[in-house]
Amino acid sequence: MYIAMLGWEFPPFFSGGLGTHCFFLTHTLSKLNIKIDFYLPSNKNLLKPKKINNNLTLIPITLLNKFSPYPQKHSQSSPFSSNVINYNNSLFTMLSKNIKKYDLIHAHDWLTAPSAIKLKKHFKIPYVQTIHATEFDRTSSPWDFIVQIEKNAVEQADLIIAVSKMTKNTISEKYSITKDKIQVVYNGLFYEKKQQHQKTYFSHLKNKRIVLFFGRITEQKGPFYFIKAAKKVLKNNKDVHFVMAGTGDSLPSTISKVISLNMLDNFTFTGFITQEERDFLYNIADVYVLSSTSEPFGITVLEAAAFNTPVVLTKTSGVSEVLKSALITDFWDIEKMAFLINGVLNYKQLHNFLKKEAKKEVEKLTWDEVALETIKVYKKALGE
Amino acid sequence: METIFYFQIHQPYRLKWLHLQNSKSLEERYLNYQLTEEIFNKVSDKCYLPATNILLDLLEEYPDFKIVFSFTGVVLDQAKIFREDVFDTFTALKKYIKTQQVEILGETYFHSLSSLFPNYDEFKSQITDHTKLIKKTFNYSPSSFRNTELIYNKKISKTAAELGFQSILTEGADDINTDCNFLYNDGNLNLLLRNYKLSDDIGYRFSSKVWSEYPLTSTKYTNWLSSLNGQFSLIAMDYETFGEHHWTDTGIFNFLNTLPKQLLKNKKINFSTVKETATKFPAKNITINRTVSWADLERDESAWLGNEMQQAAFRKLYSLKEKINPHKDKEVYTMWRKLQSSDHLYYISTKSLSDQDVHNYFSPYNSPFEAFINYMNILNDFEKSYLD
Repeated sequence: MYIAMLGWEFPPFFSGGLGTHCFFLTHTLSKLNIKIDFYLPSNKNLLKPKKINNNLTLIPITLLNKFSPYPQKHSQSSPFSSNVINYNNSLFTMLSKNIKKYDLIHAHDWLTAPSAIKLKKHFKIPYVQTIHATEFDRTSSPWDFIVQIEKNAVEQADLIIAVSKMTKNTISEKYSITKDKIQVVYNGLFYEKKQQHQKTYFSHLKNKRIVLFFGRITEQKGPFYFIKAAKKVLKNNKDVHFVMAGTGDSLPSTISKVISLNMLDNFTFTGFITQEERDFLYNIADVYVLSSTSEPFGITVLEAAAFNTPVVLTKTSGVSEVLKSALITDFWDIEKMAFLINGVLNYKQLHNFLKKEAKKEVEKLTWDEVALETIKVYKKALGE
Repeated sequence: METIFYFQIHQPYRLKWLHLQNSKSLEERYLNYQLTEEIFNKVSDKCYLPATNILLDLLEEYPDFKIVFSFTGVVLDQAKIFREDVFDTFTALKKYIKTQQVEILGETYFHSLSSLFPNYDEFKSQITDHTKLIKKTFNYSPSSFRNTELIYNKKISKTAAELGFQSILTEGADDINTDCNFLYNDGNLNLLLRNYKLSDDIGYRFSSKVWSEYPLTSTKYTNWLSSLNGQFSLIAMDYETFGEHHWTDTGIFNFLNTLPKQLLKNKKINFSTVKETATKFPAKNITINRTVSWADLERDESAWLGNEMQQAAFRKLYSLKEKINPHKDKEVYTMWRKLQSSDHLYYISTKSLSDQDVHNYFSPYNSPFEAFINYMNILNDFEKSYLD
C-alpha cells in the first residue's frame, strides 16, 4: 500500500499536537509495511526529500511566505489563510505532476483538505480525511473560511477518521455526514519510561500539593472553570498550589481573574514550557485537570496518567470515552470539579487507585493499535 | 421435592452530597429523604404494591401456597413514613403467617456489614432490634436467619445460633462443591443453600432476549424444578425483580401469578418455608471455610470490600464505633447505623470499571470514585461534628 499523506507539521520541523500524531502514525505504519510519502511545507532545515526509513519519506513543498501555525485574525486576507491556500496550490501542482502511483490520499484536518480533494479527482484514488478537531471545537465563533473547507473535506472524503465518538458526532451533526462514513480511531500514547529527572524546575513548588493545568490557555480549554473550581478547592484545602502551564490568548484575562479572586499566592503561571519542564510538572502534580469545554481527544490526560498523576477531566472530551480510571465532570459544574479535586487530594486510597489503574489503561493505548485501526480504514476505502 | 421462594426487600437511605448543603440538623445533613422517598414511591408503585397484591390473592386462594420474605428494618421504617398503603399491604401478610403459609426471616436492621466488624456487639444488637421490629410489625419471631446479601461464615452462623435462630441461609456457590438441593448442618445451625442458577433465571435472565431459554414460561420453569433431584430448592432474589428489574411489559407479573398455580398442579412439588424444610429432613454435615455471599461472580465479600477505597471506608465506619455510646445519644447512634447499609460500600466497587453493569444499575452516583468521596466526606464530617 502506497500512501500520499498530506501533512502540515512534523517534528522536529515545528511540532504541535498534529505533528506529534503524524510522527507516530507514520513511523508505526511504516513498520507495518505501509509505504508513505509525507508532504509538509519546506523550511530551512528541510529543503529536499528526506528518507526516514525504507517506507517513509518526508517531502518538503516550497512556499512563498513564512507562515504561522495558528490563525492570527479571523480574516481571509491574513497571512495564515493565504499561506494555507498557497500551500495547497503548491501541493496540488507538485503532486499532480507526480508519476508515483499512490493508492490513497490521507489528509489531516482542514489544512490540507483542498489539495486532497483535487488530487482525489485527478488520480481517481480514494481519499481518507482525519479530523483531529473541527472548527466548532476550536472556537465558539467559527471562522466561515475554515468551516467551508472542513465541510467540503468531509463531504468529499471517501472515509473519515475521527479521534473520538464526540468528534464523530460533531462532524455528523454540523456537516450532515452519515455516521457510517466516520470511523473512530482513538489516539495512542508513545510511552517511554523516563529516567528520574536530574534537573529540578520551578523550585518554589517543592513540597507543595499541586493541581496542574497544562495546555493552550484559550476559551476552549476552560481556564475560567478551572479557576472557579480552584477557589472552592481552597476553601477545603488551603495550602494547595495551582499551576497553569502554557500560554494563549486568554492568559491575561485568566491572570486578572485569579488576582480578582485573591488567589495569586496559590497560583503559578509558567508561560510556554519545554517538554522536560512539562514532564517534570506531570511528575510532581497531585492531580491533573482538563477543564476543556470541547476537547476532541485530550492527549495530555493520557500523558499525565502515564506519569502516575490522577486526572480530573470534563465529559466534553474524547479521552473520557477511553479512560475509565478518571474523575469526570461537566465543565460547567464547578462544584463537582472542586469536589473531585478535593477528593483526590484528601483521600490517598483514591489517589493510589487512580494512578495505578489509569496507568494500566494507558499502557494499552499504543500507537500499534492506532496504526492497525488506520490500516483497516485504508483497506475499507480501497474496497479490500 | 420442596420449593422455597424467598424474596428480599430492602431500600437504603440515600445520602446527600455533603459539599452541596449546609444543614445543621443531623438527619438533614446526611440523609436525602427526598430522593429516598422518590425511590420508595417509584418502587412501591412498580413492585411492592402490585407484586404483594398478587401474592396475597394467591395465598388466599391456595392454602398450599407458601412464601418467605425478609424485610430490612429500614425498608419497613420507610414504608411507615412514606407509604402507609404499602405498609398495610405488607402487614396484610400477618394473616398468612398465622396459617404458616408465610415466613419472615431474621436479619440485621440496617442491612449492614456489621457481621464483618471485628467486634460483634453491633451485629448482635442489629439482629435483636430487627427481631423486635418484626415481632411488633408481624407479631412473629423469626427462627431462620439470613444475613445481609447472604453473607455467611462460621462465625456468623455461631452468632445467629447464640441468638436463638434454628437455621441460616447462604449462597450455593460453586466452590462449596455440594449439591445445593440438600439440607446441611454446619455445627451451629441447619444450613440452606440458594439454588443460584434457577434463581438467576428469574432474577437476571427473565427478560433477556439473547438468552437461549427466552421467553421463560411458568410451564418451562415448573419442568425444570420438577426434574431436580434432592430435598428442596431454594429460589431467592430481590423482591424488586418483579416490576422494577423486569418491567411490567416483560410479562413478569403474569409469570409471578401463573407460576405458583403451575407448580401446585405438579404432583412432585410442594411449597415450603425455610423453617419447615429445616426440620423436615436429616441434615448432612458441612464445613465452609470462607466467607460466602450471593453477590457478584466471586460470591464473597469483594462486592463491598474489594478495593482499597472500600476497605478504607469500612475501616473508617468501624472506627467510629468506639466514639459512640448507644445509650447516651440515640440519634447519633442511629445515624451511624443508617450509614452502615451495605449499599454505600457497594457503590464504591470498581470491579472491572468497564463492565460493572450490576453495580452501576443500583448506584445513584456517576462513578465509584464519586461514591467514595461523598461517603468519606460524610463519615469524616459526622465524626468531626458529632463525635469529637
